[in-house]
Amino acid sequence: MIDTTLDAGFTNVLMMIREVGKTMLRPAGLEADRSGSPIPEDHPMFVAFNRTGLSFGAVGTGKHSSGDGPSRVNRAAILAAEEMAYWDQGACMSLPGPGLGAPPIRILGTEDQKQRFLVDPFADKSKPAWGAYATTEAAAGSDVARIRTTARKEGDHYILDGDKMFITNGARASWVVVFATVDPEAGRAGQRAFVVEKGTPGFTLGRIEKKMGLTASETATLFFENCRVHEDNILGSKNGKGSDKAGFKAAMSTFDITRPMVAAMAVGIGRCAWERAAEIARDAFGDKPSNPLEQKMLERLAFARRRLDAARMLCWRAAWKMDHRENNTVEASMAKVYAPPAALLTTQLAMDVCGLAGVRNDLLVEKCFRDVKVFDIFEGTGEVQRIVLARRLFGYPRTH
Amino acid sequence: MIEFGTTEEEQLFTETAVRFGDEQLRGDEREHEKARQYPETLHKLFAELGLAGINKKDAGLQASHRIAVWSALAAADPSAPFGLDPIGPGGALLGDLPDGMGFVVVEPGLEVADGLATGTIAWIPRVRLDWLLLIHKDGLHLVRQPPWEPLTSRPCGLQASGGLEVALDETPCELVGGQDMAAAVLAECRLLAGSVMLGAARDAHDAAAQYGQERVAFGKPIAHHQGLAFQLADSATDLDAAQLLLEASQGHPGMVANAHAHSCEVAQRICERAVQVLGGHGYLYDHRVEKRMRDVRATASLYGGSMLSELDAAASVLDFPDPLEMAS
Ligand SMILES: Cc1cc2nc3c(=O)[nH]c(=O)nc-3n(C[C@H](O)[C@H](O)[C@H](O)COP(=O)(O)OP(=O)(O)OC[C@H]3O[C@@H](n4cnc5c(N)ncnc54)[C@H](O)[C@@H]3O)c2cc1C
Repeated sequence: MIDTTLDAGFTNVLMMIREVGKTMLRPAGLEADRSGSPIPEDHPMFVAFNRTGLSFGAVGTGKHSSGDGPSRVNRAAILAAEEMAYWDQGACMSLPGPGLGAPPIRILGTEDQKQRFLVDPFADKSKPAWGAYATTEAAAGSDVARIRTTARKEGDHYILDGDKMFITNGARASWVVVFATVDPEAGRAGQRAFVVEKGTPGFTLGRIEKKMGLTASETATLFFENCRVHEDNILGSKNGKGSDKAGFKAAMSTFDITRPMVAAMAVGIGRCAWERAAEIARDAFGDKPSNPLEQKMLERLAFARRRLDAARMLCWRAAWKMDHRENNTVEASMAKVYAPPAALLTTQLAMDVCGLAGVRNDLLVEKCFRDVKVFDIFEGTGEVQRIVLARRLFGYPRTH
Repeated sequence: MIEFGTTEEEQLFTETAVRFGDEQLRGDEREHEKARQYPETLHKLFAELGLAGINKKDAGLQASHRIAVWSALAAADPSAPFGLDPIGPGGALLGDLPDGMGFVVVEPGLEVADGLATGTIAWIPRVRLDWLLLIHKDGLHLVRQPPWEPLTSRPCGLQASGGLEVALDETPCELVGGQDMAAAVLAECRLLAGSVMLGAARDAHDAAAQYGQERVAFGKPIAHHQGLAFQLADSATDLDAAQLLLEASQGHPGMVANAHAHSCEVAQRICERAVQVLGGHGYLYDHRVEKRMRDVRATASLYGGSMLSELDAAASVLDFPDPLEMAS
């Protein structure tokens, strides 16, 4: 039996987020989109958000159940992800907190590192702080083994050299988890994760990227040149043992948690465009279409709606499995493969329904169209997800 | 006889447009987008090359020439045909249009009665407007000196062509053509919009195919991974199919409607795929595929968009010309 009703606990989560979304995320996101620049670090929204006491890093591996039953954390997180994105995903990604840097520290870090990087910087709620996660380089994205940033041991320090690209909140972060290789020939096995703190000599900022959408979120290039990082900042033990093969596997397993969330975000953006278009349709002809064009508008909306609904179910199923501590790699990848294209199509059809007005950035659907494309790209591209699925479902061979 | 070649004249027009695009548009595409207009010098050069007059009736050109030029311009910058051609589609069919910049609008919400037009046109990709042609169910209506305002908001694409909003409030208009003429003008608009979308999509696809051969992941160029190779092959095929359909539809309004609807669908898909091939890089202003995706999306909303075309196509589908009919 499938039960898709939301109990009071889930509803409360949604209500809280709806309030934050309406009063903070949407206005700040629109402001940034119109100005063409990310939300500035000193925007009052960040302190106001901190005051709400909400935190969105609370995804888990299914271990944190309350009482005897399975965890609810991942299902709550998936609902939260969709709802936040509905209001503004760019603004959501700009919110203070450790961000994508949290999972590797949580999984690979020592207790001391968790205290230093996940607790201390965020203790003072009046001072928004950010963390960031940096694997991608200009020449290496999906193929993580190709990263060329090197880490050379020198006494009790490592010397980092290389550039990182596309780093969310990279310029404002107090620290960045940087993946670098101690042995370029060893591929992933040679990679270690370092926490590089802001102000470390040799760590400098490049440009902030201009993007099609998600303008509210800062995407930065970072440079490491002769950058000396103390060995205390290598995640795991001093030689990075915690980040060897097993550690990496653990780090990668966080994708099974985050991928359905990213898929759910796409659903949220699609839903936003869909609702706006449905409103326009309702304003135009009420309940009953009176001509073929209006009928066509309804068909467009129905076509998009069934895809969005199916996408949401895939996301919820992946989260439910995670809450039950079952392997959900297949379900997570299915959600990630299906939802972003479904959401993009929804935004395109919503623009059709809105006619010429749909092209303008004051109607929101156009912004949703620009925001949503990237969900098929980051957190594992659609193509890479299909490979994961093919391997798991019918033994597609590893070729590399 | 079945022929797929281009005439020497078509080739000449294409080459002129391609050269203009390569030399004057490509390098400054982002600058023009930011400025939301083209510099005066570019308008002048465009006119000197004879490109500004291709939509004039007395130019005596065929739709195939106009398709070739608009498609080539769109490959370099999809805004250019809308921003630089003062007349635009429809002009070739109507002799005595007023001077200056005009635009053809299909806006189902407009009311036209007793020589007065009322309603809002939310977006026109122009920097100024001296006349408007309204396609309405009873025919073609001309509005001289329509009241326009620059957009305070930003369209998702075609920004270099400018952006206007027009609010007609019992604004005088003249009937300048009957239903047949309105249908012919609409077909011409769809043909040229289709050629812009496909020209832009072809350029996005070319960029993606080239990038795919240079970018290496998992030991080989990404275009040599089957998952991407099939997508690129599909794009190339879809493009040719849509282009042939569009070109073959000239002179058959029902087919044009279908070809336009198909162009909207195909061009959007190809541009989106091109962005996908470039991965995160495709999402950045650094690469033209990012802009192509937005420009094509905006173009797909012009002239009634694909929904109206689908309806017109459906209405005329029973009259679909068989090969014998096309021969006549
Ligand atoms: C807004 C934004 C925010 C980001 N934030 C971060 C961040 O905070 N930290 C971080 O480290 N990174 C971040 N990224 C980077 C993101 O994770 C990468 O863009 C993504 O991993 C894809 O890598 P790539 O862009 O290099 O594309 P590539 O890996 O070069 O892929 C290009 C194309 O090739 C395809 N492809 C690759 N391999 C295969 C194959 N074997 N078979 C078939 N097709 C294949 C891909 O699917 C894609 O279509 C961000 C990116 C964006 C756009």
